[in-house]
Amino acid sequence: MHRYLPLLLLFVACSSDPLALHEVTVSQAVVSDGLSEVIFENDGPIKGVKELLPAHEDLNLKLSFRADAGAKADLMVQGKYTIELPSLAVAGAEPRIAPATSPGVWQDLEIVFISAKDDKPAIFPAVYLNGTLVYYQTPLEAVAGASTGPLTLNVKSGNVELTDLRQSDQGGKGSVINADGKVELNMPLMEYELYELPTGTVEVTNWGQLTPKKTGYINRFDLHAIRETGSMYAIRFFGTLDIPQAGEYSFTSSSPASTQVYVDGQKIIDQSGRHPFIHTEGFIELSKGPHEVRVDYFQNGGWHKFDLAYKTPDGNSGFLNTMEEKKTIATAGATNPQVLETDDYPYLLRSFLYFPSPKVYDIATKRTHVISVGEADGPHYSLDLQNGALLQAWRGGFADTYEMWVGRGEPQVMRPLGPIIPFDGTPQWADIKGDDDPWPMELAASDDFSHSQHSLDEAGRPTFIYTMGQHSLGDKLTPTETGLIRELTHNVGGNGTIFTKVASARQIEETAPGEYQLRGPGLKLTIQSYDGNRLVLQHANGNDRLLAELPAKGHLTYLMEW
Amino acid sequence: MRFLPLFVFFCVCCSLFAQQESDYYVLTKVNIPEAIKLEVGGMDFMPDGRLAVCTRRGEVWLIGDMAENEPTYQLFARGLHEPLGLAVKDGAIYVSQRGEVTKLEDTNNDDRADVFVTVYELPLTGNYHEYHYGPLFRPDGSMLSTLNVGWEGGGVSRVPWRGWMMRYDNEENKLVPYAAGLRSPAGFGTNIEGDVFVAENQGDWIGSGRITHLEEGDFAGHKASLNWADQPGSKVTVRPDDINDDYKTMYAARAKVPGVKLPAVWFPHGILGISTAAIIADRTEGGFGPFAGQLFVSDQGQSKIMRVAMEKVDGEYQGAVFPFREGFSSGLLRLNFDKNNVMYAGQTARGWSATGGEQFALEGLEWTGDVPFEMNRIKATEEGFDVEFTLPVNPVSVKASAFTIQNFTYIYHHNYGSPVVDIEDNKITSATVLPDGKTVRLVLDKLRPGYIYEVKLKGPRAADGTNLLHDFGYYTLNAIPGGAAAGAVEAGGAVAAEKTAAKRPTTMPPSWNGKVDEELLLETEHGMKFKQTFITVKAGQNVRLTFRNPDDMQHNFVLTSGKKGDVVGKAADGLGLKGLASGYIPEIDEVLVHTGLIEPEESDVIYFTTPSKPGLYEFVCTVPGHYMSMRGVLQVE
Repeated sequence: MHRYLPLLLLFVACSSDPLALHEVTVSQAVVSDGLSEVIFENDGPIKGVKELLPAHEDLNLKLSFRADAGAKADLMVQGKYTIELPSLAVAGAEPRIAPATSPGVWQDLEIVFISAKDDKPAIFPAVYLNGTLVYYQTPLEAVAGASTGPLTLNVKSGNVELTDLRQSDQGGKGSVINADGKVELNMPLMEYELYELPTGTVEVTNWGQLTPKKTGYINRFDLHAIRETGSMYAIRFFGTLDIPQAGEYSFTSSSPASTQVYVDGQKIIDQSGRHPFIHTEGFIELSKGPHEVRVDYFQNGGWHKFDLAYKTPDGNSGFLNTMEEKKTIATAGATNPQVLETDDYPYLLRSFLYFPSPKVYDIATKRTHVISVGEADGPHYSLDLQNGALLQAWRGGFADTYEMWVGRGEPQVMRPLGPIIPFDGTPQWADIKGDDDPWPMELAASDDFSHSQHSLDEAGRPTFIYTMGQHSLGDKLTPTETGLIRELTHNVGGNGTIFTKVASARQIEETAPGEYQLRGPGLKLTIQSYDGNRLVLQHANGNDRLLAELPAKGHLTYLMEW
Repeated sequence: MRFLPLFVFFCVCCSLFAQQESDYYVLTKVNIPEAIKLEVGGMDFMPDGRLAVCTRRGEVWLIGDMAENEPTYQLFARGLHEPLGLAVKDGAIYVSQRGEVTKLEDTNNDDRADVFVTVYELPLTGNYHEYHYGPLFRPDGSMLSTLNVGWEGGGVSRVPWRGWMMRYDNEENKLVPYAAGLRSPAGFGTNIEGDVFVAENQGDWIGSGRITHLEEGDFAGHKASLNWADQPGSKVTVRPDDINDDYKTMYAARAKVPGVKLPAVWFPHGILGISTAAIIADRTEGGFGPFAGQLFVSDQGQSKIMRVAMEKVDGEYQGAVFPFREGFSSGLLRLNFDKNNVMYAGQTARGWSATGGEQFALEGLEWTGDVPFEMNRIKATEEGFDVEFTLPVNPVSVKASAFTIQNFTYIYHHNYGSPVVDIEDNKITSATVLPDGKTVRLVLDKLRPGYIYEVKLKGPRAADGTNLLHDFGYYTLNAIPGGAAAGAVEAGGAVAAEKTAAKRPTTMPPSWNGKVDEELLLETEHGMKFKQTFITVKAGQNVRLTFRNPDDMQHNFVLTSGKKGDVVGKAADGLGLKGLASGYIPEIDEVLVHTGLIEPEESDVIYFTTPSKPGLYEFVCTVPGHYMSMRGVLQVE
């Protein structure tokens, strides 16, 4: 930091201070995440034990935390299931990705929790760090006591701060009454049992006497994710379906296998025996409240397929926890990643990318013209070549290509092998007309934006060149020990200036001229060199954007650290 | 020991057909280092003689000394998005990635790309099936590329220009839509006249594999692409409302909708390929054998190459396809000739398995210098066909009975693929050797346009006594020379409905009063086998038999009247095209009862009463080549 001080002093000494920040408020629609804000007394670092929520059962929790070097705290779900901060360690559980966090940087944590019921343990269906899946369907070690308790934070050492706390009492996406007033059904999580059967089995009738090959949890009827053989296997799914509105419901099973569907123990669909791919409808009168759903699926050869459709009393229809074919459903990713090895020459990998980072088994969107650049241990980064946006950056392993290069590679998505710092994905450049002209969410055809080329320097690092109408724009990122240096250039552009997006976050705070602290994502930004003279900070309903105006032949260089 | 009968069979075959394809065209593998997954997506030769290959994993390799034991491999670029086409132009490498055509430049001459120029970008939805092939440079410097439709249980075109061939004008930097109606146009190329042909695989709207001559504004048959037909720059006149299932055949559709372009040559599915890919013209002027000027078309799924000889009738291309060379190691996606007239085949089978069995391969094919005795080309005449051979024929071996001809067509509909329909035998009224000594003129009792003619030969030999290397070909007769079309039968009018076979009772006879005595299950296994090879039943029982096919190819179940597996199997093998149309069920008394021809992962249920006479009754699968290993016994007690 100190090496740039003279430069900063030079900026500050200029008469028309180029680092002066012009703050404006702009209005922008907010998309609801279905969670509500938790009000708690937030006066800096937390000392000792602090209750964040009163006694709760199932929970979907979002928060940001920041811990000093050496700080340690326990986040206690129901007062007894512990996630250690900042390491995110959970007793007896193995994280999918090493959750590296830097001291003094804000981290976004999301926890989905289902409390213990009967003989079933409590479970974290999913835990995300900055949008990256860290735990997936992790049962928790049993702790004595009732299945309820408060959410608390117990700070053991150092400074730990919390903010942006949001919650709902759903352990995942449940049934809802949607914006049109119609019922939409979904089970937050299902338990499954996988059985393997002797060759020649015609029907499974003795479930009770069989021993499952394995058991676990899953959000959708994803046969491929569970099965280990091509045939002679059976899967039982158990779920709790919340019915928001009483009435007669219809369910239709579509399957070529022996399949039965039960609601509250009553068989409503029977597709026993050998048959081709058939659709069978069953009806049942359901009261408001929770109902137990069970599906018995026996695969005795042929096609692996099971869809469960529903119709509600109000005439709505949809699929229940089904792997719908016409929408992209993001799975948790491969359990055996195909690791793309990096070397000292940057690997430029083009692919599709789930963006924003998907929730497991939720409908996902893909960016289709993405390039990811990785070298050594990073930081690596991904760009959207269709709008110039920096999408994400991460350290650690570079890329998992399992979903690109195994079989047909139908998803064609790469998965980062480390926890990412996610950015907002909106266009990198825009011709806004004033400080309060809202930053565009996407490009218009009239913007005439395109990626024209990228060229590699001696070390193999790329500079990306885009055109936008009369403008030619450059972008080069260089990994450092602490983060990434980004140099944005406005190469040609006639007499016009253009705005570029320095950063976007839930909150951007100026800590010194040209220095900023970000939350959501957690980053420190330092402007190293800038020859424009208008920095704008837009506050847009909980979304801050730091913008810089670049004159023709102008540039901006800044360091991102996390 | 269990393979002994099969072995004996092969020996018999070998003695009958003493010559082999390898006597004329020799196949050699190019060695690939263990660490390189050379899943070839595209390839072309560099000016220095090295072969530039792009792989499905996004690498570009420059391969030198291919004939040596240790060829050189230089990594030129990596990380491209599943590039499925590569062309070298003025020393630069162009590739078709999923989302764009990219020019790769090596500005410091270190054999590594350092500038990646986006020549043009294409929108994508993120569907895996939106593949992109090319580019193909035209003499005027413009380039062509082709775009798959997406796949959502049927072909879809949700963003421009899925399902199109596009033309990029390098001088004006403009991308223009060239032709529509494509589904999975994995390969395209030009004939020696420079006209563009595109290959298609069986699929929705595509009854069978084929190649089509594409000119600007053509519509080649797949409907989804028409979403963009009215966009600026499009010269395609066909609109989505013009295309439906009612025409029955493409030929009939073409009569009503002039913008429909008929395939120049149909490739019967399963016989001459299942996934046509590369198209390359023989420009060797004899350096690659007797087929100069003809086209070679590769097949991914069957690991082989077919040969096409065309002619122009009424200004449009049509012609015949013949077998050429099989036995490659993987799926043939790309073909290129080097300057020594060796044909290189770039191959991949990941996700789409190929007969050859290897995941990927690069192989060279070289002519030995010997001329095989083959049908060189077939030309349509007003009254039949002129079959021209590669060598003078022995006139004594030429007679009408040495040829069999039948014709058929495919259904044009939104469903996947098509059965062979409307088969008709042709009577050959005369077969005469023309004065050139190489051509036999066949006169037929009648000709109908819009059909595919199977020409099978039995007996004709070369003047020097050589036997035919391949004895069949398929001629696509879109038009009869001399304009006899006016008086011909209108194709499509006579597409017969699939008849229900009397020996395939799929419903329970009413006389059973809803009661089944015995439930039987029969399943297939990988490797052409039944899982249950010995089944015991009582005489005179009412049986419901469920036949399930978890294998990855078509199979059936045919119960014979005793130890008649060989009789029925051989009869089915001899059915030819009619076999496919009838589900390979010969109309003979030895067939007691049978299922339909069952697709992979599907099943069939039939009802029959077991024979009243105790004994052993063989059952077989009659798909050609299967009955020898795929058989079992029903013991009636």
